[in-house]
Amino acid sequence: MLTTNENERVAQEIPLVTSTSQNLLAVEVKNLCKIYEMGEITLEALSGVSFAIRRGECVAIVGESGSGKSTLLHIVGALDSPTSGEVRVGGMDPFGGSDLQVSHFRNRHVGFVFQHNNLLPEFSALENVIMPGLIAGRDTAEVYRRAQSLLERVGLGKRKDHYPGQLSGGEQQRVAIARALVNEPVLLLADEPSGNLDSRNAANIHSLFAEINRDLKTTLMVVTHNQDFAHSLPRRIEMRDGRIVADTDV
Amino acid sequence: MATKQQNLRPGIGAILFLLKRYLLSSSMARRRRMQATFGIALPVFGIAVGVCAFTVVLSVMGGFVQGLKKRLLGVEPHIEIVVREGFGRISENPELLTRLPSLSKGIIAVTPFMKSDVIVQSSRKPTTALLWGIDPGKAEAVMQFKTYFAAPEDSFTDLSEDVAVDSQSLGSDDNYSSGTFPTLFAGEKLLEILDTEAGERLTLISTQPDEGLGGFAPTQQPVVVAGSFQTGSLTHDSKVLFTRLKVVQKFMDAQGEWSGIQVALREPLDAEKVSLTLNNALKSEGLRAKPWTESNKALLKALRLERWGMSFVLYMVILVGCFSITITLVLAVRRKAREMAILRSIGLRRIDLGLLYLCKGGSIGIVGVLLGLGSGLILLQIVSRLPLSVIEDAYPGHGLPVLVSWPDLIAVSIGSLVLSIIAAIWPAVEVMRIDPVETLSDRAV
Repeated sequence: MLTTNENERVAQEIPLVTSTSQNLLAVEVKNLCKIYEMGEITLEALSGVSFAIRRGECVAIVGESGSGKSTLLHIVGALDSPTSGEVRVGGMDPFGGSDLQVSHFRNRHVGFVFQHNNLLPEFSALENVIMPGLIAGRDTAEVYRRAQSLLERVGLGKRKDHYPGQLSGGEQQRVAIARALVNEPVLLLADEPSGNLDSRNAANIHSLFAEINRDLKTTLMVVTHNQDFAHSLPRRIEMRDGRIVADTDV
Repeated sequence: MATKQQNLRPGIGAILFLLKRYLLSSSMARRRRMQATFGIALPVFGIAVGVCAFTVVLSVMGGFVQGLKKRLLGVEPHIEIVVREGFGRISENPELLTRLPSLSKGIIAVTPFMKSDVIVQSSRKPTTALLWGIDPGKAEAVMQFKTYFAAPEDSFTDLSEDVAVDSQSLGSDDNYSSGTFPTLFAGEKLLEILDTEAGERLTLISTQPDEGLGGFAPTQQPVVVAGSFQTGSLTHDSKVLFTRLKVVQKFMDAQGEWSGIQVALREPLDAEKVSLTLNNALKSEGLRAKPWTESNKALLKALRLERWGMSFVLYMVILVGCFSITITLVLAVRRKAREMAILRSIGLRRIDLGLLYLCKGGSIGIVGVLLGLGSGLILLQIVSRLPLSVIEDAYPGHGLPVLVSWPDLIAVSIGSLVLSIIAAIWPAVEVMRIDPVETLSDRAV
């Protein structure tokens, strides 16, 4: 948990890249490798992955199960660390510091939406959404105002006091999206966000992502198996066996 | 809620927010809420039972020990000044009586005394007793004996003068002659043994025979029972006879001698400290100060040992309560692993999660301690007022004696709280080990 002063200090400690061209990039990945060692077995989940995503861009990561999509997403979001290679998000290297700095990065610069059970069951929709703001130590009244406005944007303004158990799968995902946006991150990462939903709810979530990207200019990186959704996005990165096999920019 | 949180320090507000919800959640499904409530209630109950037992047992023991000390100190002098070596007597020394109070500010009164083992005989039975000679004018200030006399109007000053007794008034089975005799106060139990009562005559017989004209014969002294006392200490109530110092000196053929000097202190618990000062001052005169703690060393040691033993057992009870904190919180970590991983993914640090669980342990400890203290104090009120048949002999018409020692209770409360936090260390370490990637992956769903 960071105080305001600690936040400022940590923000200063995360290396910033000052080049103008790089400041236009939301994500820059160079020669990324991730190797899992399980006893005598070595599994290369990512092998020399390199790509860049411009600010405000919306990218689908597609590929078969086990191709390394989720691993890539976790590393870009600093949930997991790479074996080698370089990752920069908004010009920052998330792996340059301690748990304090990595946590600060996750809290302030990226937002996550997972496939399953994204929410804290003991907290209402509104309380789930304010949580990253409370962790950041931001002004509470301001965090509540922003959370309320985000819930209204995702169409759940009137259900803010409902608990996850009282919401449908689609509604829960919309609350998770609102939570991911509360600290105004550089990058929104979604790991198969509609994988558990019926087609109608899945379509609603896809439209919501498109709206967020269009209205808030938030950079999106979405891992999906849904071909319709992937094809609706302006850019698709296709992965196979830990490598990028196609990068289609429409 | 927004206004409430606003005033809190940034960050700490999030931990308190999480803590409050995880401890007092009302939002879960009924079955889950029951499980969570039971999970928290169990360790709280464990700590509360331990602290309650500690409060009751320590306070009752404290009350018992206080009563015992009060009884001892009501009769026994706080300090005795006696000869340094052996069991000799000291010569009458009025100057020393004047000087003693100036040696320590804690001394409030002094009086000489003379003690001797005697055989005491009533018209029906004989027994052995301790004849204790005192200065009737000063003894009251030294011994605080007033409440122990059977008749409220009795006082040691009643011993100042001999009383005239007419043998006719003593009944047909009394063979003693009329005359003027010294008086004494006897323990009620002793009078029971002698099968006699106040107003009757007794004969004191010396255990050290004197040589007379017809050879060796024990000295005899007729006395009259002026009244009786009951201190609650069987040793004193069945053995002690108080009479005038001069009577004992004459009976022992030890005129001009004292067994020692009784010293009363403002604070009896300072006896050892004051004795040290007196010993330094009186060493050259062949005298030494003997505190009441020395005379009752074995008893006090036994009481201390009993207290330590009891505290150890009660701390074990609290420790068992703390084990249930560990088990409950470890299970909570397992059950909530995914939620903890989500919190990590939105920026909560490892150390914050650990802190959250330490706070959980501490909160359970605080609630348990408060409940235990509260229920313990209520229970003490009940047992101190409710007469119990099992203690009827020792405390007629009263409940158990109670002395609440707040320093002890505060120490127990802090100790329990520290143990509760220590009990949460393992769960805290477990929660810090949660790997968000592993936990949030599809395999973990």
